[in-house]
Amino acid sequence: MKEPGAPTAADLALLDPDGSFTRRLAADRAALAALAPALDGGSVFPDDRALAAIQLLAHRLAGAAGTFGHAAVGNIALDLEESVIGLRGGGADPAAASRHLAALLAALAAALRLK
Amino acid sequence: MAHSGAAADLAEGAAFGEALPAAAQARILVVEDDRDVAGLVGRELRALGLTVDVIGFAEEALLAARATDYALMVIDLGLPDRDGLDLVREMRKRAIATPILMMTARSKVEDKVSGLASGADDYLVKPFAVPELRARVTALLRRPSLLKESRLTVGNVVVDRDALEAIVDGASLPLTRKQFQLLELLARRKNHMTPKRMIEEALYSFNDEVSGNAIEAHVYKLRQILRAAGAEAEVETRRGIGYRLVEQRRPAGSAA
Repeated sequence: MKEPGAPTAADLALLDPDGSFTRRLAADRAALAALAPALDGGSVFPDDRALAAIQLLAHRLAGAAGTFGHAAVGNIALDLEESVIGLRGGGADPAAASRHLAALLAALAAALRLK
Repeated sequence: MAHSGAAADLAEGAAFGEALPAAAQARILVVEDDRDVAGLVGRELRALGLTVDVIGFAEEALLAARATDYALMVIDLGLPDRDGLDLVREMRKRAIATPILMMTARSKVEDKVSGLASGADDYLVKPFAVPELRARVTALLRRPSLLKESRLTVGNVVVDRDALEAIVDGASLPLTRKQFQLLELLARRKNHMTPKRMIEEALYSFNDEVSGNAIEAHVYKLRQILRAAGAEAEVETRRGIGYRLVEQRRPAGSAA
């Protein structure tokens, strides 16, 4: 059932008339999925370049997704960005970042209506 | 200035439905490196009847701001080559007084305070709702320093900048957005020559491509519309100099 206040397909089409943001969501999802192993396995010292790439993708999604009607993607991306920033600073739990990444991949899949 | 026909066509067809500020012809600079967000902001502001330049880098934005008389700048904080706060500080240091709407994903109170302390006039947190963007831009353009006379009169032609409408003897002229912008500019400079380059800068953004005779074509169509409506105003051409709008009393019964 549609959440109260959630945008309709027509709302989303108005915000993204040529579908470029939807294509970006798909590309970002593929990129994040490819980077996910950096957070898997509970490594205490994940590859920082991979973390930086995840942080950048999450930051951009956190800023843009909500504006294009994908509030859940934006909110979870913000959680992921904050947990990766903490992880890179040496003060956060890798498992939390991994959970946030999994949640973001699921939210992106839902936004793209993937099953 | 390179103008694209496609962009110009898109702008030409923009909706007139929004409540527009008096500075409707205003030129806006959007500094945002996220192409999707920049595209959305540009599209929405053009739909308000504004001319929009979009730039993705701080240094280019600084050059553009120094060279162009913008009515408003919308600046994202997270730019690839420089922090947006530094850019705003630099602009203020260089006495660029254009109102600035900062746009960022940072939503903490201290972030907003530091943005405003750097010289921004307002703050829009991402993600934002499009109506909020429109409202904030409209409010900033309404500020007293940017207000211009909202109704201009030349002969029996009234150009209503708030309503985005030109009226002759009570009848609204069927103008496109570009034709309205042209008429408004010429009316504001009534009896004064307006160089073609100034018209291009008012009607088109940096990224638009303008064919060599685009302005001539707009002037030609505007003249036709004015004459058909019985306007007591005429667009004069001074070859090599530009155009000016002058009152032109018509003999009784000469209107189409």
